[in-house]
Formats: sequence, structure tokens, C-alpha cells
Amino acid sequence: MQLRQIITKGLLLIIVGLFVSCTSQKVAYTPDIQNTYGFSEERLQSIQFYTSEDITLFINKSNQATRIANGKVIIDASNVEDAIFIPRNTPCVLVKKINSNILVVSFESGQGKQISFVNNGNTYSIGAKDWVDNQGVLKYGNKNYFTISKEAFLMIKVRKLNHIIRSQRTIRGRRL
Amino acid sequence: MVYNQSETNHGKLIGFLFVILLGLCTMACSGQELVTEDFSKYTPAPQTISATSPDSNSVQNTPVVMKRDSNSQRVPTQNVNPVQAELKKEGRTLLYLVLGILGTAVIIKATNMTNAITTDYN
Repeated sequence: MQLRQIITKGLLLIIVGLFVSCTSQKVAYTPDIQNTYGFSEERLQSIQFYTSEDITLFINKSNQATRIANGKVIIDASNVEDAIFIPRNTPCVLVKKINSNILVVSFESGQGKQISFVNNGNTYSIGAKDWVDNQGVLKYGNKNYFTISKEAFLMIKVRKLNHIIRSQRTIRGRRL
Repeated sequence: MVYNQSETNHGKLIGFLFVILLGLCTMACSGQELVTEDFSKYTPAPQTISATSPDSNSVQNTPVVMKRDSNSQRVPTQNVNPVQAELKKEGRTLLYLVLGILGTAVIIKATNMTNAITTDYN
């Protein structure tokens, strides 16, 4: 009887694992994918994007808002006037495709509340007007913010992307 | 019916404002957001070679498919579509799980049969 209980529990675990595995994996939305499939702005607007890393935007109260500890840049909360935190895997939508290298996305509604992701050769990583000492300056909601989240890039669910690729109309041509 | 000139002007003004309001509401409802910033000047962070650079992240997130070459050595396949590779990986996981469930069901059945046989024997 005890063996049967163990097996039943194992079966339940497998079923749970099955459901977990059914949730689609995310991959980086790369310039290669963009070039291969040539998605238009309209198509991209129907895709759910996600951020790969936490994004922190902040306004300095003084020049000492950030410091380096153990090789990592740390934001000192006491020297920050205003901060916006976007956790990793937060969904976002495309607002505008400036060109094939720059995608403007929005994590929340509101005037000017958009972040650009720029082709860095491998992925679409966060873009800024200027980069000084690994800190980017970008405009968000009509205010200039600093960011240290230079590693954040756009991600997409594989299943959704595959669905969109399949739904693309392909003309096979005409034969006599 | 006689209308005063100022009343007519008021009517035109109200109508004009109503049309503008309707336009703004339609724009807001359609979810269209205006991009006011000149993002064409935005650039990615300068590339630095480190353990946490975007390169290493993209490598982690791009599955590598291995194949056997003429010498039966496993080598990474060139120009693999990451989407297709990820779907293949998902399909394989799903197959293993289904096989696992079937295997467990067979074990349960076998255990029941063994118990039944043992009971009969006793």
C-alpha cells in the first residue's frame, strides 16, 4: 500500500511537471530573428515582449547616487530623488519601430513613458541618449533619468513567436 | 425661427470642441501612444567583455543544437534558428514526461497485478 502511495505521489509530481513544462520558454528577441522574418511594426505590436533583467531608472540628488562595490554598481537610495523599478520578465508592448535597429516599448501607459531597445549586434538592449561611466541617460515620462541596467534586453515567448511566423502569409507563386 | 448671431457662434464653438474631444477619446481608447522623444539618437551601452555582458546572456538564452560530424564527434550546428531549436527542446521534454506517466501507470498496474496474484496464492 505504501508503494502505491509513493507511485501516486510520483505520478502527481509528473503531471505538475508536465503543466510547468507547457509554459513556453522565452528567448532573446535578436536582430537575426527580425532580419529573418522581417516583422512589420504592426506585427511586432501584436507580440508580447518581456525584459530580461531588472531595469532601474533614477534621478540623482547628488553626484554620489551610485557607488561600486565588489565590481557591481550599486544605487545609494539616500542620494536618489526619484526611482522607477521594472522587475525582470515584466511584459511590455511595442509602441513604435523607429527602424529595424530601434524598438520603442512601453511598460505602462502615459505620455512619454517609453523605453527604447537598440540593436547591439546580438540583442535589442536598453538604449540611452548618452552613456557615461556605465550609466545611461534616457528620457522617461518627460524627465531625464539615469540607468545602470545596460544588460537588459528584450525577450519573447517562443510559442507566440512560432505562432506569428506560421500565420505569416507566404505566396508560393504560380505555375503554368 | 430666428437665431441670434452670437448663439450660432457658440453652437459652432461647442461643436468644434466636441469633435476635438471625440478625436482625443478615440485616440486614447485605441491605445495609440505618441512618441515625442527622438529615439533615433539612442544607442546601446558600449560593449564590455565581462561575465555578465549581454553577449553571455544572449548565449545562455540561445540554445545550441549539437550534431555528429563525419568523425562521429558532437559539434555545434551552425546557423540554427533559436525558435525552432527551443520548440524541439520543448517537444522532447513533453515526450519524456508522457513516457514517464505511461511508465508509472504500467508500474502501478503491475503492482496491482502482483498484489492480486499474491492474494490469490495466499
